[in-house]
Amino acid sequence: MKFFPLEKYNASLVIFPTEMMMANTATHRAALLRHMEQNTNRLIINLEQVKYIDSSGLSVLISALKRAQQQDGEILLLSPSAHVRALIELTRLHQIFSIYEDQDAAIAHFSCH
Amino acid sequence: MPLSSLSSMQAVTLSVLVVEDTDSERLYITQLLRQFGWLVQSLSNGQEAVDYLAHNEVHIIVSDWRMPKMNGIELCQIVKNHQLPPFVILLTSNNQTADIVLGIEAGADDFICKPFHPELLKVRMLAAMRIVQLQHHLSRNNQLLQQGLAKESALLSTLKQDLVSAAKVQRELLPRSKTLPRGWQLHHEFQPAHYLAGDLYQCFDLGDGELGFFLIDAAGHGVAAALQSVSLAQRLSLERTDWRGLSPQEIVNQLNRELSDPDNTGRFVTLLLGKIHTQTGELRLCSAGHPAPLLLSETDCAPLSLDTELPLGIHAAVQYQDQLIRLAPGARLLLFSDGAYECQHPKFGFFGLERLQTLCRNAYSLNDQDLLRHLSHALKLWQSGTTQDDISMMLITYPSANYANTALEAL
Repeated sequence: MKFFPLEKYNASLVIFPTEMMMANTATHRAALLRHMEQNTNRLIINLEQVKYIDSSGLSVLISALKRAQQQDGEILLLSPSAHVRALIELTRLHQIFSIYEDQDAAIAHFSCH
Repeated sequence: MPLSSLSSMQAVTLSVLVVEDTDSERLYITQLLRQFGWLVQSLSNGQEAVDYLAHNEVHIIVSDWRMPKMNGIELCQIVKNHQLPPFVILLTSNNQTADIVLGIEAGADDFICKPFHPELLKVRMLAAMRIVQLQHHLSRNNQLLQQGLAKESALLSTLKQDLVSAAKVQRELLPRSKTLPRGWQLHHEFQPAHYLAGDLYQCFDLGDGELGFFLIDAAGHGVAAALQSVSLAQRLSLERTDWRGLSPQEIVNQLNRELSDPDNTGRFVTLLLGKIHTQTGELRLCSAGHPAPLLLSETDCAPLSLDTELPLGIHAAVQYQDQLIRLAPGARLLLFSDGAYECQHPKFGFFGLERLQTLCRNAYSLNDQDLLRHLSHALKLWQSGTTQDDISMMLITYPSANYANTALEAL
């Protein structure tokens, strides 16, 4: 998982690794929440590289979302593969996450919210 | 190795054994070594040394080669069978290669040719001492590691036993009877990925011709997910939930409001919960982020078209809705957790819902139990030996007139 703080909006770009599974979710969750402690309440989570995500991987997204909401922030998802998108839609998580295909559009979202 | 640990080893006083048959030589070497500050014992042949070693700890032996009763080479051979053998310096009066080879083969660690300069003995002894100390340090560390390992193994086996008995407790919560009222049937398969599952399901007779059922899948698997699914299953038991008085959506909405996640672990639960009228086949079903069950009929196998909402435990304000579906006699309803199609093959990728559907379609003629076995076997092969997620499948069968007849004929 890699973090790239953006210049504005207390926002960061987060790149998720290829696998988000039971075995590594505790570490990723901790890293993500720690990053959000540093005055970051808006995240664009890039899912482009994610090949496999299970329910515990999705729970990392939920953790981030809950933390962001406590801090008046927001989580946007970027470029999930068809498979990951299908899983997100199956569990109806797209109702609570906005999904973008384009990074600039996601950043623009922050400027008007 | 850090210097600090080397210096801490120097606290050990090393004991030296001198074995030499010539009295004058023996006294000379013993005196010399004592001057250098070592703890020295001296004996006059190999046999005496062997007897002495049986009851005393010796770190370094300085032994003559030729001695009566037992010579230095024989002494080496015996000493090297000890578990932690002392360092042996052989004193020899010749410098012949053949002799040195013989000595090393016997297990000697070093040689000093007689006559020697006292300083030479001293530096050789210091070198020997370093090696002995390192050996002791290593063996002590090894011992500590072994002890630690034994402790961990014991702990692990206790934990394993706990998990095994916890898994038994969890299995107790699964449906027991295959027979439901009015000839309805229930079959199921339960395969936790690791002893305990985040999945749990139940189907029971509510009386008045009604069935109640649920299938829970708590995110992740293992102990934390299992605790959550077990507590939910208990919350949904007949004793604690008013299954008769409440509709599925009312039960699910209550449950969602109760679920909290104080540590923000992102825990969530997907759930299917419903009631079936056994006489009319009317199914009232509520889904919280769970994959739709498959409906198997003689002609087709397709997921129920089902609107679903977010999983439980994400938003307290979500309003879950019942959906009404009428099942036809002979229909089979397959409820399953995502483990039943999400698994991955190293080469062929995802198993996928469609594959599950195709399997069901092709295996339609199998009876209920065999169909579930067939599916779980296919999944097992797909996972190629690794268990990736909990797999649960529950098959609810609505009897047809034909089905009832065949059952009678079988009797």
